[in-house]
Amino acid sequence: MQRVFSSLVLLVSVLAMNMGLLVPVANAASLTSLSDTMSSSKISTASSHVMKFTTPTGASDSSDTIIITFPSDFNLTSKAISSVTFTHGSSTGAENTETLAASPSATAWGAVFSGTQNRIFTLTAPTDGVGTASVAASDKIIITYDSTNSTNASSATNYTIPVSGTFGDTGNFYITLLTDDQVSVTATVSESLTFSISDNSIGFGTLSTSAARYATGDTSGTTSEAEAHTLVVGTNASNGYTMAVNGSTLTNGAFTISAIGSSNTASSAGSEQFGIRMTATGGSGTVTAPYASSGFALDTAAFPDQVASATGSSASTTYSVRYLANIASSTEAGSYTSTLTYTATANF
Amino acid sequence: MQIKNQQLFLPALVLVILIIPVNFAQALLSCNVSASACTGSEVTVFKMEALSNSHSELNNQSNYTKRVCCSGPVGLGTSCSGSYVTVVKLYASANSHAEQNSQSNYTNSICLSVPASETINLAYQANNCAGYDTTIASISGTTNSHMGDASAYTTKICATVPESLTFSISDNSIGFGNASTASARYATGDTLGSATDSSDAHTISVSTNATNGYTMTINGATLDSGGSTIDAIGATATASSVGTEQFGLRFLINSGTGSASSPYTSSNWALDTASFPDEVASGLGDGIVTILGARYIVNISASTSKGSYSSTLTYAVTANF
Repeated sequence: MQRVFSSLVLLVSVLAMNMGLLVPVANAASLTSLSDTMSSSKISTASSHVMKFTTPTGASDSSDTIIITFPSDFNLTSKAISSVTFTHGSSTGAENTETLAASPSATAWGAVFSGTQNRIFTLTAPTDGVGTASVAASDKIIITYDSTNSTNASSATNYTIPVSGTFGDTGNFYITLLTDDQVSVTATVSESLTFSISDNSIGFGTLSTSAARYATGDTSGTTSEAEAHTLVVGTNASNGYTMAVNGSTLTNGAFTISAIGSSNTASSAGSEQFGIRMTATGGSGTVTAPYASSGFALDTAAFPDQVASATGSSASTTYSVRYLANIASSTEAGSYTSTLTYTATANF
Repeated sequence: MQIKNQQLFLPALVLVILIIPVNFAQALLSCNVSASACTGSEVTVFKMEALSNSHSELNNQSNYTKRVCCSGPVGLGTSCSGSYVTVVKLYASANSHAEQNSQSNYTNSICLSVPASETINLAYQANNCAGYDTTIASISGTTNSHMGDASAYTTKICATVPESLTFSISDNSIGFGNASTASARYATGDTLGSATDSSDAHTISVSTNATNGYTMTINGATLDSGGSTIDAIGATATASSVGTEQFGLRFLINSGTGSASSPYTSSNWALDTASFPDEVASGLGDGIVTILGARYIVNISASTSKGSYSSTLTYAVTANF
């Protein structure tokens, strides 16, 4: 009979063990996918921590604790639990946000800093073991510290941050601190004025009393208004720049073709006219009157005469310059030339 | 009858011991004695005649069938140079007694090695290998000894490969010198800058044996001078454009198995400040040091305000164990 009883005990024991009916045992295991992302790996510097891990066992019993212990020389003095977050979930770990409080309750996890310079952080499960949501087996857990009152250790070396607690799973974060994790990059920008002329030799070709001629870059000229060349000006001067034209009107020995003057004037075939106009694109530069309208001007009396400007720093402005020439029946035959000098002055 | 009852309870107790879940840490390094060839990524450390009271031979001998196989860390080997430990020493290459590595009587060393950026630790420990990843074998004494598997002798040969993460920056202060509207400038370690993209401003070295490798991020801000800034290039790799504000970088892989992350991996330039901290590189947990060459470019426009510009960029590496 005693032998039968013993056999029965054995059978029940075997069944009980296989059905999980005996005293619960902690299914402790190694944490996986541990990572600690820091805002700074520099020694003696404030840094945040985003600590992630996956718990094979979970933490759903009211007696469960999760403990993170920073190594010696990390300083979390005055670290407040309000600067810590605790989330978990089966997918990203951010699905469920747990409320943290000084003591655990039915709705909150207990969260307490302790030890030298608050290096030990203990989370205690809610009194119902659930809180916002039960920390299930295989849940991903994310615990974050902001950088307030979270100062790195003072030695540039590797550190191990263990995770422990009565929830049973264990693991380590591994981090490296550097003397300096930053790269300082410097550059100098000097005062600058950019100024260029696309073509230094333009021409009207043969002038006519019956039709206006417009200068072109190939010096042949044309009967319809065209861009002869461009001027490009830009500056980082805080007060911008001015651009002026200087020189003289078209001249052939003692003979000249009259410059249009200070008023913007339409083309008038059969009358002597030598004038320019400009349009501006890009940057903040503008054409100055009388050169900004659809007519033409050339105020030689005011030379050097302002033709464009910018009131502040300006990216490059491209000025399209057009030249007009008309002659009268009395205009002397000959080859006429004019050398116009453009200057740009930055106003720092 | 009472004796019989005790005999009945004994197998029950054994059964309980076998069924209770065991607390264990996943060993990075794992060794076993196999009667057949080591498999997969396992390395053959040495061979034994039997599981206990055994002579041993080097792994390149062919007299014995009991093989001590180890696996785990990428790059695990049996080299006796670099980062390694001597497991035991043999009197001869085959049919040999063994001695512990602190002895100096035998010359045939049996070693376990790991990549240079990692360490491997070994100890002869009584009864068990608590605190270590694995038990390689056991040994009967300090010298003139027989060997056996993990359970054969009290003195266990224990080894562990600690988790590792290395991270360093070669130069913390670089510069472009005088930026120009007429040509691009490239940062150099002497802070004077260069007109050609011909050398690294600095390098970053990273390695880990973390299971899931590592990621490296950059954080900070673009070049600034008292509130005037030079535009960061942004999230799209972009060619140098002289006369247009650009501050960007790219990474070259000078050596190792890591890789730069998009958009920093091409011959063009990027700096995605909107995504800061932005991933710039990642790598495997193979323990191999990757050296990344960091290149920086700046272009300015005609209207870029004069001044001394600076940017502090913070690099961070996270190992994913």
